[in-house]
Amino acid sequence: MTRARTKLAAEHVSMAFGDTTVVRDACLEVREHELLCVVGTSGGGKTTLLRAMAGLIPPADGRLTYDGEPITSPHPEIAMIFQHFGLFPWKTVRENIEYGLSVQGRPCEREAIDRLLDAMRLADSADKFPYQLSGGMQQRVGIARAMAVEPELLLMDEPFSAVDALTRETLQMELLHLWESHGRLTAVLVTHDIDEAILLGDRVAVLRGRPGHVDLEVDIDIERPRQAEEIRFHPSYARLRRQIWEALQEESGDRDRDEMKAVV
Amino acid sequence: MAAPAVQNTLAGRATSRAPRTGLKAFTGWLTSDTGLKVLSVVFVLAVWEIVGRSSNPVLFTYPSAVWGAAWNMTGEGILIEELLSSLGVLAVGLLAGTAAGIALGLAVGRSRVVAALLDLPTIALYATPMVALVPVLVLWFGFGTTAKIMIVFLFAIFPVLINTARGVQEADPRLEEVTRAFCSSERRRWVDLILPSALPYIVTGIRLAIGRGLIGVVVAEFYTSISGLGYVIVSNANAFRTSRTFVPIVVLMILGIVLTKAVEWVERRLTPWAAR
Repeated sequence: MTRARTKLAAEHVSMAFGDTTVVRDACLEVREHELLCVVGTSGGGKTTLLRAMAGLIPPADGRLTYDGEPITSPHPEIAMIFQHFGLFPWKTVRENIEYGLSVQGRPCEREAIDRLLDAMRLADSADKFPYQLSGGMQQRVGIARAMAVEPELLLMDEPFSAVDALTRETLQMELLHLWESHGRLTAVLVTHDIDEAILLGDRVAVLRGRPGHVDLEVDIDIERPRQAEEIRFHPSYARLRRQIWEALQEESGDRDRDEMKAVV
Repeated sequence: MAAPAVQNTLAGRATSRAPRTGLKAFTGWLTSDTGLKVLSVVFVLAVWEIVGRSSNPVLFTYPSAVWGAAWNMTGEGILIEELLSSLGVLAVGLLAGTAAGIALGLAVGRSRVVAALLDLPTIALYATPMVALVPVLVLWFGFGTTAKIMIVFLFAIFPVLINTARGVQEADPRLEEVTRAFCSSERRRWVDLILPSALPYIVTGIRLAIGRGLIGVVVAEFYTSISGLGYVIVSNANAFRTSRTFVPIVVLMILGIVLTKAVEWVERRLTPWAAR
């Protein structure tokens, strides 16, 4: 694979809340048309790093760039999918999906929204309010809202961790299909679920320790299209899973970590 | 969200019982929300009637006598005339108080500076019995309608202000982040997030303001130039016409119910997203 253009870059980024550093010296590149999964334990600062990529909070140190330009505030070409869905309770499903377009003053074609409603199997719920939907359905709205603005970069913050296991598998596959049908939109997905990261990602970066530090980046050399029920039997699957799992478990000091990097 | 869901199922059970005939249908209706509300009014009126009839007519009265007095006073034209006078003061004072309360409340809820500036004055004025300010208001605004409206205004503004500010502050910070992530302008943030979040709180404020506004009207009518329903109360009480004294009191009660229910109706129309 020829090396693609860098869409988003984190250069020695540290994130802090007051005196507490949650991410330390993180370096990451998100290449055009790849889906990068960032795996980390909870409290590891992965959501914080993603919010910085979205321009919602500034890094304490280091630099984040999008298309080579420093990220100082939210960018209209970047869309985000939230762990908590982030739907407006007073907007219907259709109004929630239209939100991004309307708030950016862009024309909102009814047919385009209809297509998204169909793709996310929400057509029958278009006029319902979020409280009338299950968690899985609500996140479908969240996904459709992000896709509606036709973003250049999609950021996903543990999008499936608030839904039940069965719904999660369905949503993962739906996201995968949507992503493939949208010309492999550049995307970053943050998760604590190794299987999810391998199933969805082109690459997986491991954010380990407190404060979080990018320790390992692995290419997921499993061909697409992928199927959730088949991927577990792929020859590379067990090796990748163990590699990521061990990187997450490792609680050693800097010296050991450097040795591990050399091995990888 | 759990509580309204339970309410829904309870209400559903009550209505599903309704379409039966005879006594069962009646007891079914009686145990519904509407039935119980009617029952409470009937009970109070019945007890009042019985106790009232056995009391000294100078000291106490009973519903049928009040009804008769109301009939006579309506015929004389005095009830309607004074009611309209009170309603005018109430309407202007409440509307002005609500408008100012919402405006200031939004500012307090959104701006740290305004919040800090208005914090102590608001607490002081809200906690002070407004009655204590009436002599000063009379000094400033005289005994006329302006003074009455100012009194109602001051009674009404603070519950609206405090609740509105609270509602703005209760806006979900996670949704605020959503608006920022989608590059919302501040104006659109108000439309999409802040105002809808604050709406239920504003309505609660208005509901409290109605109660306080009614107090304000009567206090104003007692302490400034005597007019309106307050005048009807004082003049009849001084003449020991107890039944006639109770007519404006009951009218005020009914006014409170009607206005509160009207606000609840408007709220339901404005917030179709709220699960109930």
